[in-house]
Amino acid sequence: MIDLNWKSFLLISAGFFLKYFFDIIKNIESIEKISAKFWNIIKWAGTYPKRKTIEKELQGTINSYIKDIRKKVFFEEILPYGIKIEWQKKRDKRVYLKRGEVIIRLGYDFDHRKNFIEALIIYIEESLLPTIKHYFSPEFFMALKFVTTAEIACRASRDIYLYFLKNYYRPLFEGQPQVKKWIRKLFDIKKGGLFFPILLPSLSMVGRETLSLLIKPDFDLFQKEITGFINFLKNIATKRERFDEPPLIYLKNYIKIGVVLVSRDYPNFTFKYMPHIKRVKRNFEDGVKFCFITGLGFKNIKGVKLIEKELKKYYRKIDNTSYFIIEKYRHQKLIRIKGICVCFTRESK
Amino acid sequence: MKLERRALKAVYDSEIIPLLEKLKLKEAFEQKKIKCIFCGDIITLENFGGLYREKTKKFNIKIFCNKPACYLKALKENCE
Repeated sequence: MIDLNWKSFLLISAGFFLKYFFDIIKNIESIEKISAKFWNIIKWAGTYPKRKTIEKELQGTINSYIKDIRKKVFFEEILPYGIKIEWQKKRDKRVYLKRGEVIIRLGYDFDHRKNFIEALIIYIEESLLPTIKHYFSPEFFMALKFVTTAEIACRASRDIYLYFLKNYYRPLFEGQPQVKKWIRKLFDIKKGGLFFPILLPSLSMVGRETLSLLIKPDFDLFQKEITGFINFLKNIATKRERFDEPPLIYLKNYIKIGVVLVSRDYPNFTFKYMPHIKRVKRNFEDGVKFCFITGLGFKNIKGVKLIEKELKKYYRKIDNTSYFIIEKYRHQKLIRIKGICVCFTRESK
Repeated sequence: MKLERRALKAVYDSEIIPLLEKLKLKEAFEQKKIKCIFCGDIITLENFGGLYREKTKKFNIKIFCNKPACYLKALKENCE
């Protein structure tokens, strides 16, 4: 009897160990974070461990945030690459520096916030929406990069976020009121939980569609549409809880997006989310190419899932389901609300 | 899900001098003749921020200091 208990105990522990081991193996970023701690312990041994500490810490942290953000968006094209620190070493005979390539200084004895922010900024500069960034106005794209960088910095720590705002915000936007205006709008959209689940995927999808046309898009018209689209999302994000419902369909030359907000059910119908389904169908009939269905809170998440199940019979769902969290102050208390967003295209299955 | 990683070139504190040596800038650096391309401060080991190869010219290395403003200007010039 005792033997059997020991055996089962060993089997269960081995199972747990294996699961934990495979979880770590699957997630290379967590290995990097652990190895950064290891190198940090032996930092007294010279510059090599110090350099490794910086390298592993930056790679592990930034890449894990990128992976996390990629889970929130439908397309991996939004942040398609990870980051890898490539050191210029003494033993390298030559310096391979392409035109327009920057070598930055990273140091162990520096403020670690500076290392993190500078590596992050340079990463976002090169990796955010790389295929379609040339279609945006420089001011708008700058604001887009800023909000994405701020989001990652904020996830890293409040300290890093404040350091970023204090030291990089001012020099970046000094004398650029237009960029500041964009940032304010984008932050409003982010607060409403529409930045990662709707805005970035829409831009990516619209960009992809425009590129596939093989005709050079009308740059001015495209800019105008983007401005209109940002205002459209901002209205939804800020007016969400009021009675006057903002327009939920944006139908222009390049951008054809519809949004369906799931915030209530209709008990009079046999399927209580039927009006939402009808709305999605009507959107597609009107010419919308991508329709986002989003909801906040436990009850509405359940609703969106039911709608998704029903809509899958008629339309094609875009890749993943996007889960996000928004923070709101209610009665002077910060509360976190979980949200969901799914996207369908009008192409039938 | 594996991420394809893009290299970010960096130099560690103790490797700045060998790097400048390879670029034949060590002498000028030691004589304090190198200035930040943006703010004009003399570059030393303490305030070295980074360097880049100019886009337009064939081989021209520009060095900038460690102020956030200069770092951002260097990126703006090169990554757009």
